[in-house]
Amino acid sequence: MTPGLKNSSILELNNLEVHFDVSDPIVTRILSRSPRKYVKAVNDIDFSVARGATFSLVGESGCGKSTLARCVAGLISPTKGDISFNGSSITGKKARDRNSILRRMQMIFQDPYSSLDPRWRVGDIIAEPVRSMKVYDSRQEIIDRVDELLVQVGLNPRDKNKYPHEFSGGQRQRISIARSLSVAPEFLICDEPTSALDVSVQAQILNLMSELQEALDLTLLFISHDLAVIDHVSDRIGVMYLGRLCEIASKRELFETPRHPYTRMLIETIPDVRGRKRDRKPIEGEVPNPLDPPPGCVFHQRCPLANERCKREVPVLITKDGSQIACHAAEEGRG
Amino acid sequence: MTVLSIERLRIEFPLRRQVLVAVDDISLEINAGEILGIVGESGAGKSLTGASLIGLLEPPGQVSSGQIRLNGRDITNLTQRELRKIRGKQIGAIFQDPLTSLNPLLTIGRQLTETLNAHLKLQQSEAKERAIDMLREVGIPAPEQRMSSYPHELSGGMRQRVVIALALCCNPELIVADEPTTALDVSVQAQIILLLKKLCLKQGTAVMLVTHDLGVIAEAADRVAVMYSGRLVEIGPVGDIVENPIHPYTKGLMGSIPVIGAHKHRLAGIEGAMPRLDDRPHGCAFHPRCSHATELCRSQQPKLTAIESSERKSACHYNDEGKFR
Repeated sequence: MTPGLKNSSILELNNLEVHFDVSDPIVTRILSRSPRKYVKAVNDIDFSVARGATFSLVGESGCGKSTLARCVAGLISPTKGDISFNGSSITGKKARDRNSILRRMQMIFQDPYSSLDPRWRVGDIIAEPVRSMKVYDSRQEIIDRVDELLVQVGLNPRDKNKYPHEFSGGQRQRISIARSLSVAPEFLICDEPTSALDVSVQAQILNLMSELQEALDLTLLFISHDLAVIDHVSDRIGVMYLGRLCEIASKRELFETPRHPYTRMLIETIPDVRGRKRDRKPIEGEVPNPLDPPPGCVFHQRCPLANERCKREVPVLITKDGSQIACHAAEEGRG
Repeated sequence: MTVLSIERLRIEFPLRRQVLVAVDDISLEINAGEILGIVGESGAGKSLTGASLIGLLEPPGQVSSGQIRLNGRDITNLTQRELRKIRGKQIGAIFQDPLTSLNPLLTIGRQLTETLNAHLKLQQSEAKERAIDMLREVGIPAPEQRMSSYPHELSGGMRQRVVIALALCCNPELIVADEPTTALDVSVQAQIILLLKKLCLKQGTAVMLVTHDLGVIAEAADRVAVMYSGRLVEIGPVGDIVENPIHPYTKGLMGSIPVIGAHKHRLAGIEGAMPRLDDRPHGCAFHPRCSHATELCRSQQPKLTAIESSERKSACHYNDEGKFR
């Protein structure tokens, strides 16, 4: 790492777009004269993640947060835009050239039941990234590294000879964390790492992750639909709705003075243990179909502040008082 | 008025080598118009308790002892035929995934009228009218047109509304709702909870709300029963349980939940995991994870006992010294 990069951002996304082609087969298209169809899963995404911090993406299912994470990890290639990691662009690179980047960037997935190969021993699962990237020369070094990692995530070195089915969900997620840490990355992408777990186990994993982040100086891109979890882990938060970022703010700003109507709605309506006696009015309606998003601001149909302009014009992210927001009403000072 | 009373319910899974006890010694009551939340982690036996009420235990699971009474009538060991008369009419059910609990081949209207005709002996036109009313009641826009829609044409939230309409259309005395909001988007969850709450209060229906989500329980339930490893560990009014839990497990559970604005560095959490059914420890099932466990906890199972000067019960040997923290 060059000294000049310290304190700067580790990851930058510029104008990122991911569109999926979901058109009918070509013959059907010609016969029925239907046009090509695209799901615009991720649109116009711009943000940067500061080194050592936790940046979170929050939103409901289908808002594109997981697609974005996979795109950053290189599992999906973007349709447009650019991702730069440590100052150099990583979009459009061949898989072989990405290896040096992937060593510094790893991902943890949501479902610990499907992200571990059931026919591999735990030790092999954890050693796989180390082996494929040829980090160590000798077998003994790899074995030592696996033992060290197992202890680090709160398991026993003897567990390396077992198979994934012998572990509970929480333990599997620990294995998955150990695997991602095996190549000593600086940057971890965590896609809903606790949403498949029970709350008491979720607490264990969240605690483990914050310990590891401190000890290993990790930067996290954390994705969740659970606002309370987001509030617990993040420094900065991006709120997504239907493929677009509608607000980026520090944790404090976002929860104390949410500016975007959607953020306010999320904070107000989510069932919360402490919000029991709150008088709430749930927002009407549901997330629109991403195949056919509404024109203008994608949230206007559910937004209490929407006017004519919102129906026509797509709002862009503007910086206001240190946070960024994409809303005409906030821009005009109507809300 | 007590609608449902369960006494010492025990659900067993007899296997070739051993008998697994999934639910043990559960006793509780639900009154008319009341929502009882049943909360616990996966494998605690909460869904089995719900399933046993509607006779939907998967074999070899069976109610081996105890009694389930609906308005005073024992419904524990009814035949399938007798159960079919009760299910849908006296007990409605709402399940987690609305797409699998609706028939994909029948229109919404057909499913509603079929249920109404099966239980209420209505004219076809009356049933249709009633079905449209029900859809309007659960907040489905343009109910007349929706009658001819198929489930796949509706969104998840709308489907769950249809399931609620189905469950409530015969004015049942009890509704068993098993994770009714888990499959829904967060912003829709709140709508569904409010709807369920409003309708049940209006019709005086008793509800057993089974969920792992304490947020949902806190919003919807009047009383909460906390289950751990097949047993009730604490039961009482929702405010008491959420704000001032007594049982160490409930405390741990509440401490595990991140709370917006709390800004704690670490979550309290509970170490370890719930024991497997075939490997349940002696004494209190929670003792290996409990920081206050003593010799007594390791040897003797605590009973669910009432807490003085409250409507609460807790199953811990150290209820009275409850404030060890």
